[in-house]
Amino acid sequence: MYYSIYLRSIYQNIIGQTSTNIVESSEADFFQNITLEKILHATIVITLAYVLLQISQRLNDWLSEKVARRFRLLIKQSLPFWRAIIILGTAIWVIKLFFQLSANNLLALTGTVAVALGFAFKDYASSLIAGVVALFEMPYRVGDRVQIGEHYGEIVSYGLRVIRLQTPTDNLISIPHNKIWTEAISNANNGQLEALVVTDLYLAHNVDVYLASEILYKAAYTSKYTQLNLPIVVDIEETIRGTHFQLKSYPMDARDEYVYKTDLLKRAKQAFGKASIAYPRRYPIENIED
Amino acid sequence: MIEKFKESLRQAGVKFKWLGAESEGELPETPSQLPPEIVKSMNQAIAALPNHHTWLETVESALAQAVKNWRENRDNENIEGINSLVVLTSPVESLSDLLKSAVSQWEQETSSEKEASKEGEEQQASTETEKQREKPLQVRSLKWPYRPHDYAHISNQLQALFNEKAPEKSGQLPASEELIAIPRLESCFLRCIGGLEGIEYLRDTIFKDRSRFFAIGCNQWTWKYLDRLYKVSAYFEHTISLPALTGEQLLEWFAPVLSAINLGVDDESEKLAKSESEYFENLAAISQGIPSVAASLWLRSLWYEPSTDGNSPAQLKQKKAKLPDLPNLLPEDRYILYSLLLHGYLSLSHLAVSLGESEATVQARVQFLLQNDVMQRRHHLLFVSPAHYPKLQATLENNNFLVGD
Repeated sequence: MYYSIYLRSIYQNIIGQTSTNIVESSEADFFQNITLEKILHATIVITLAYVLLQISQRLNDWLSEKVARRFRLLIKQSLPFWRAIIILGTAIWVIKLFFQLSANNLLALTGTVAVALGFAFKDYASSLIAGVVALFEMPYRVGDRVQIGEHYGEIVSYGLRVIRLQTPTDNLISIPHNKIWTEAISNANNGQLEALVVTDLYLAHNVDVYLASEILYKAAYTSKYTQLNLPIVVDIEETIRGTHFQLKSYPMDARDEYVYKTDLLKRAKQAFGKASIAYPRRYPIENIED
Repeated sequence: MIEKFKESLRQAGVKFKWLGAESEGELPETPSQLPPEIVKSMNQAIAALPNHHTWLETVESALAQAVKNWRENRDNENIEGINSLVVLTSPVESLSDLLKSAVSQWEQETSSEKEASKEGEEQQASTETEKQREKPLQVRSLKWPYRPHDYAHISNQLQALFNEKAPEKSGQLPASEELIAIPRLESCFLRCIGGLEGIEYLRDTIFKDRSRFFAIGCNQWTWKYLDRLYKVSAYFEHTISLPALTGEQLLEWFAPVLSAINLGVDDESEKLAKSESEYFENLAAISQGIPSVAASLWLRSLWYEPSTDGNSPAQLKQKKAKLPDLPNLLPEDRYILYSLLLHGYLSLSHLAVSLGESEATVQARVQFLLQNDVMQRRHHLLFVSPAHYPKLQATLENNNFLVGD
């Protein structure tokens, strides 16, 4: 009994003393002297980084809208990389101001940060990592038109944690990057300037399909928005309510998607009217079911 | 026309001076406005210049060869019997005069050859085919220089032209073969659903009717567009593009106007010849060898210095030609300019139809483009300023438009 108490006290003495020594020496190695000058320095660096981020965003937006369409997406897509470089550079600069970055210390720091983030900011950390992964996997880029969940629109901003989608109704929706782990991302143009536009039309069952198809082809070929280097296709399907025509074509700029579709419909409907092409008649639902 | 131009310079008391590169710094930043009467007479003198003989010879020889092959192989369903020749050029160049001149030159040469060999061949021409070749070839040309207002019925008008009975010339057999010249194919369509029937009619007629030969002038942008729509290059296999003119050829073409200007120049040294040649080499490079663009850039490179004391003559000086900058174009401006380049000349109402917009919507931007001289108007028809064509072509290409070569 005496023997065990004696051992425990020796053990506590040894371990306690050693761990105190380790902590003291680590603290001395890990942190640099924190002075007012260093705090000021860090504040200036962070402010500068913030200003640079804002400038790069605005410069990128301005420049990408000024240059020819062909170069617009190239400039827009470079923004996340510039942002990543600025943020990474600033983080390294600030860390070096306050910490001694030896291999051991770096390990200790990243371990601590990982644990803290793992518990407290799990989703935040997941979005940050997904943001970096998305930079290389490229499921979406700035300028792409994507569908994520219920939301569809053009990616106008690529942040550390979120992307921002501008919807056709001009809403700005923030979607965290970690959606790429679980959600399907539907990308209409995938870094290209053009995106397929499908224009649906329903005509009467007894319509002259050749004439209707010809009108639809001509509508696409004569629209000022059409990219003529890409194929134009008319698909026809028979449905209960009428003959379903799908005009598949590409605008020169994916951004013109809706105005393009409107132009196609205007042209086609005007020609249908002149050619007396009939639209499906409305029948009461019960008659159709019978 | 050149004499009139000389006279207007004489009256204005203008002396012309070539400037070497080293002297260009002497010129003020902003040129004085050329007197309107001189500008007018210069424009008229340039417009009256005949087509460069290289172009005329190119078209005439291609036409002669194509017609010969067609007449010899009319009944054979092979490539040599193709009954059309398409001459392609830039959208700011007009082919009307060139095609007309080439056809009339070809007619003259054919008739003189016939006269020369008439006696010798009279006794030899025994077979039916040879008899057929003896018959005269009736030449007819499309009557409207620009697109008819009623664009939806162009096919009817073409049909009426083709069905017209050819006038019989005294002492000749009635012609069984015809040559039909269509100097501006772009005037036979308008980019809208109802405006393409003229092209469809022509395509079908050329495919079916082998008793007619069609000499067609077309701008390269229109051709590329129609090729996407109707695969026209499959129907019209004989196409030639007019070659770009070199500096030397441009100088030769300009010679009558330059000689009129050189009235007051007494420096005929080698230096003058050198700077003249350098000037035109540069002009050919920046204008892509297109005469209308070169002429427009040349006019813009002239600087007018009015007489200061009333005794010394006013001077016309010439700086190195350069392409003018485009103003800041909005997307709708680009659609307008593309439509103009596609159709050549357009009235405001036709322009609006081709864009699928109302006239009121288009008018504001048209006004902006007219004010900035990117677009010009003549007899209510709008067209792109030739001087802006090279930069516009690059801009539209970079903005994903289907542009010609």
